[in-house]
Amino acid sequence: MKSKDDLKWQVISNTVLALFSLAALLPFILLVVASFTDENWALANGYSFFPGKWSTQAYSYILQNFSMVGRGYLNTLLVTGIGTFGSILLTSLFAYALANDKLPGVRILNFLCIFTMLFTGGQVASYYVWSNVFHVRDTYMALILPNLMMNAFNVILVKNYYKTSIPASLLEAAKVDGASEFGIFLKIVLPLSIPINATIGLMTGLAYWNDWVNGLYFLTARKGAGLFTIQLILNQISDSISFLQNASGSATAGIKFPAATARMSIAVAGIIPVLIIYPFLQKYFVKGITVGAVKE
Amino acid sequence: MGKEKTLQNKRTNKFRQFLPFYLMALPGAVYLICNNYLPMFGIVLAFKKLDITKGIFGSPWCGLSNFEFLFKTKSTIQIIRNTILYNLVFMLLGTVLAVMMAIFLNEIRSRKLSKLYQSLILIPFLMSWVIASYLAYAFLAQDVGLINKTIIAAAGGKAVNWYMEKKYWPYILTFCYIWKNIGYMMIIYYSSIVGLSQDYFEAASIDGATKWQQIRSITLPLIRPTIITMLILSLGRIVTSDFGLFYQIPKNSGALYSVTQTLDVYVYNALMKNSDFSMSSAASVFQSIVGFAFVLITNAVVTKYSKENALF
Amino acid sequence: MKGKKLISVLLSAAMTAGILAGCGSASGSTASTAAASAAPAASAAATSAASSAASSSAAAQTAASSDNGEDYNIKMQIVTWGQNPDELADVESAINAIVQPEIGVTVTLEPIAAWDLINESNMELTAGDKIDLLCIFSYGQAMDSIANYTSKNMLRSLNDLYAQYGTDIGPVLGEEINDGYVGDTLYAIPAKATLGAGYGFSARKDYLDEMGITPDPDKIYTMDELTDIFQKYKDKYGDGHYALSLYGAGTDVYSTFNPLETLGGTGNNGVLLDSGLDGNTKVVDLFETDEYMNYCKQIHSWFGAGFINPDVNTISDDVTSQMKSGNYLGMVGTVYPGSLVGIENNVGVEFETFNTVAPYASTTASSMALWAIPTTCENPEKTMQFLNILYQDRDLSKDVDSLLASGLEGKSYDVTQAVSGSKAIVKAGTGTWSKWVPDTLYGNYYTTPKYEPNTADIYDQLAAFDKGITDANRIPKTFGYVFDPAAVSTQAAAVTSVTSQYRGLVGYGAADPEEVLPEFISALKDAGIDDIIAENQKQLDAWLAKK
Repeated sequence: MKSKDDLKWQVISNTVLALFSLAALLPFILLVVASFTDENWALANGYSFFPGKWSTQAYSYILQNFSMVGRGYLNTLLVTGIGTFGSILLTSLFAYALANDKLPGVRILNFLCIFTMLFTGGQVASYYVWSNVFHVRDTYMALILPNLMMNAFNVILVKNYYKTSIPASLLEAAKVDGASEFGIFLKIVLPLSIPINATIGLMTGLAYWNDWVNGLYFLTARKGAGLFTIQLILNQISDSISFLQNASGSATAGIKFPAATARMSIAVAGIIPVLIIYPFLQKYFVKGITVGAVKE
Repeated sequence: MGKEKTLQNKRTNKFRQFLPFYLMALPGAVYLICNNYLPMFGIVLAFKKLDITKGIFGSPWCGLSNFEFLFKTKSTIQIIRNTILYNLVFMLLGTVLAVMMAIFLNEIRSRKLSKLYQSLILIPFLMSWVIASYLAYAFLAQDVGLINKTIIAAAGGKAVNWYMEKKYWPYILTFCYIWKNIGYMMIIYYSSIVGLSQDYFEAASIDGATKWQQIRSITLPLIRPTIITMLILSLGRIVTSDFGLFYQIPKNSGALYSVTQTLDVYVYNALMKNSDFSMSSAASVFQSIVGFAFVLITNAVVTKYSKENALF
Repeated sequence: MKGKKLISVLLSAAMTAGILAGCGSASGSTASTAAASAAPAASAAATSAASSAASSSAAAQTAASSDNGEDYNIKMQIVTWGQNPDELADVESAINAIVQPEIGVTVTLEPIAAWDLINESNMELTAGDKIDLLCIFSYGQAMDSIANYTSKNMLRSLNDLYAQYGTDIGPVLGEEINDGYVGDTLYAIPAKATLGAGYGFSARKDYLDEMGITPDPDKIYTMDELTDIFQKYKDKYGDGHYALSLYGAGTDVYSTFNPLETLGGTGNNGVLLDSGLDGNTKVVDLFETDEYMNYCKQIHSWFGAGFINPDVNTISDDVTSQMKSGNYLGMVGTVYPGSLVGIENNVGVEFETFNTVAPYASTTASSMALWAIPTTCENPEKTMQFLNILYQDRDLSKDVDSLLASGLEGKSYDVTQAVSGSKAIVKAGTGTWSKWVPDTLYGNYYTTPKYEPNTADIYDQLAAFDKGITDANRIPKTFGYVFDPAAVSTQAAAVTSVTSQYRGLVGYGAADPEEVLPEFISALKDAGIDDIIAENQKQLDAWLAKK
């Protein structure tokens, strides 16, 4: 009876997840195939999983600028690493305070946190504060600090996790043993919250990886060029391609852009590193699950 | 005297007791102040006629005139209807599917398979809407699209001009939204499911409860706080739409506007030509206020029925 | 309780700091504006630096150095197609070597991508950042205008500065200086470009040869006559081949077949039919006119006949890649000397043009780039002196606008044929200037180097082109007039949104105009188009009365 039930669930779960995986994977395969399709063939015959003519032309542009692209990847790694680490630290500390129902003023803190999700001062004000008050222009901080470091959504996720998944009895016991609050946080809470930290770490990491808005506003093309991240570079290439759509027939001599398929190659160049790094992160994710499963 | 002293002692003790928590909250609070609260002066832009020689604060007030353009078209009701209905569908369908998949994922025995599914289902989340729109176009284009060229042609049907036929678009947009976001939502619920104590499940299992019974009476109630939180938070964005989805995927095709135009798309189309910060600020203030009202109301309702699930 | 207090103290402190910072800079820039108009700019800069805690150290330095009578640093925007040219620093120092001894300024070139320009300029100016030379740049459907900035009081009046320091500009620009005025106030100096443009359908010569068609250069072709050519192409090449390459930018190509004065906009806010060449200055809503209905019917029949790609409104491939694919016969667009060089180089085939509208002067065509001095500039006098130099015709090595437009000789390009002064026929060198920097935005386009396959007579052709327009008396009375929609900005925003829904739909022929156009017109009425037309007419009448 039980094993039959179990088997049924295994079959259903695997089928559903496999179907969703396929739905997610097929367009991605099309993206990769399209990036290796000959441009004119694609324009004449449309996109296909089995193109009649292959080509690596779309990547030539990225390869031509290899030194710039390479530095872009390095900058992205650095920014993503520091940003994600800082974000997890800030978020889990803040959320821990919020999770304490007895803390005087905790409702206000909570409200102040949620309020930031609903009201924003807008791009101009944010630009003004970061560039004219904190002077982050053309520094790494410009890529790390504005907007991405901590958001209320993640704080609430972590807070909820603390409340539902960390037994109050464990904390009480530690307190009775004379552990300090910081000690409890470091030795008990953090290890127990690896799953949620892995989750928000993944999301924040992705946000940093994919961000180009900070670069756009806070890096000038002159002084900030050395700090350009890969997404900023790819975005610029992509923009310069779509520019021609607006200015057809402009008499600019000698511009040769890859077009449709190149956009695909740019997308692939942006995603592939994440796909390579993701399994390594997932190790921690899975480890977190194990820890979560054996606690208490 | 003595009484006062003990009171003071108590206070000092209480302060000592909570000081570490305030210290922990401090870095985050400072960040919120710098990143979110300092720039909130930008909100006044919505009520000002900007004159940069006078600065934002010195510019003359102009009442609510910056808000007028939001209600200037006949389609305002349609636009707001689209925005709210899509958000509701996304919220409900997204939550149901994501919770379901998170539960399925939790059932997978093979760790390798579980990892594989997670990675694959998350792929669309890594793509920008712009790239997703190229892909959608590769499928939907009338002339060179996969669906018309391969599937419909093979079935002997007549090519459909997808970007002109609005009846398909509520489904296409919903599909795209789910396709792109399901991995992310699934992982959020999955992380709260794996955080649950195994004891409950073991006990239930010994009592002979079926998987379905376990899910219904253990998993779902235990992750209810997360679900409620997520729902309240998405209500706060009820009149804010995912711009990329509604602008890029339908390629801003005029024929589809009656089913694809949301508030953000309208604002973009109305203001893209002149970067009018005052009017765009007005639009976002409007969205914030509506969202804020929704959050306050739902939070009050939730507080009434299950206080522990309230947001604040 | 303690927590509550702590938080509220922290918050109020933060808010105060924010407001102070905001006010500080605001009052700083007010001071700088007020002072700069009266006293020398150096003291204004000092005031600003002193009064504003948030002001950057760079500004303070500038203030200090100009106090000592040293050089003023001009921060000038350089529009790029997305990347910095390699020789940016070299060009900058070459310019400095010329202008520093002459007028005591140095220049810092700030490259900025064309598509980020409007938004970033607005944001920087709103935040009070220093920009000395602001480029107001319009290309394709991305229209920028002086009104975008004056409505927020971002630009300085240039009347006095122009009279005093801009003496070399007037002779070069002639009529075109009118593009820089709003009312009586001169806000910007246009770069010298062609006075106007003609329109035409340019087709691949190889296909035309195969069909045995040669365009008559002296003839003006109508839409009907083009229909025959399109039909021939369709008959010969069959399905999947489209005679007319269009790109879905939510617009139409009405102006390709009829002269049209858009009064400094994209045509949404009222136009003059026949470009006002007939002397009629009545502003009308383009979409309500019979002419527009006829155009829509014609292009809808083209769409039905398969001359236009059915995906036209959503296609992501630009015209260049469409032409390259070999599935298209030709494209429509503006025609002026050398207008096909770019596309011919890119596609690698020759093109021939069927003229559809004879050249006429238009504000939009002649004001592709306007240079303005924002209120955040600290030394407008020196900036105007610098701008003046751009319009002087000098030897190539000393010509500043050639340096900006084409880069450095020997690096950005090699001269294949020197013509005279800074005029020369060149070919691209090892640098990337020509690739990333458009060459029509600086000083006098008529005297900067031109790329092969242009020949030396391009300069005469350009001059003859302007003269042809003038001689044929194809300069509308309204030339130079630009509509300022600030007074009706609510309606303008709503109208923009409505046109983005309908214009591409009827404008590229995908929808039946009999059915959709009435719907479009009534949506425009609801959005308040009549208010805009009335305001536009009012401004135009006032402008004409003063002229």
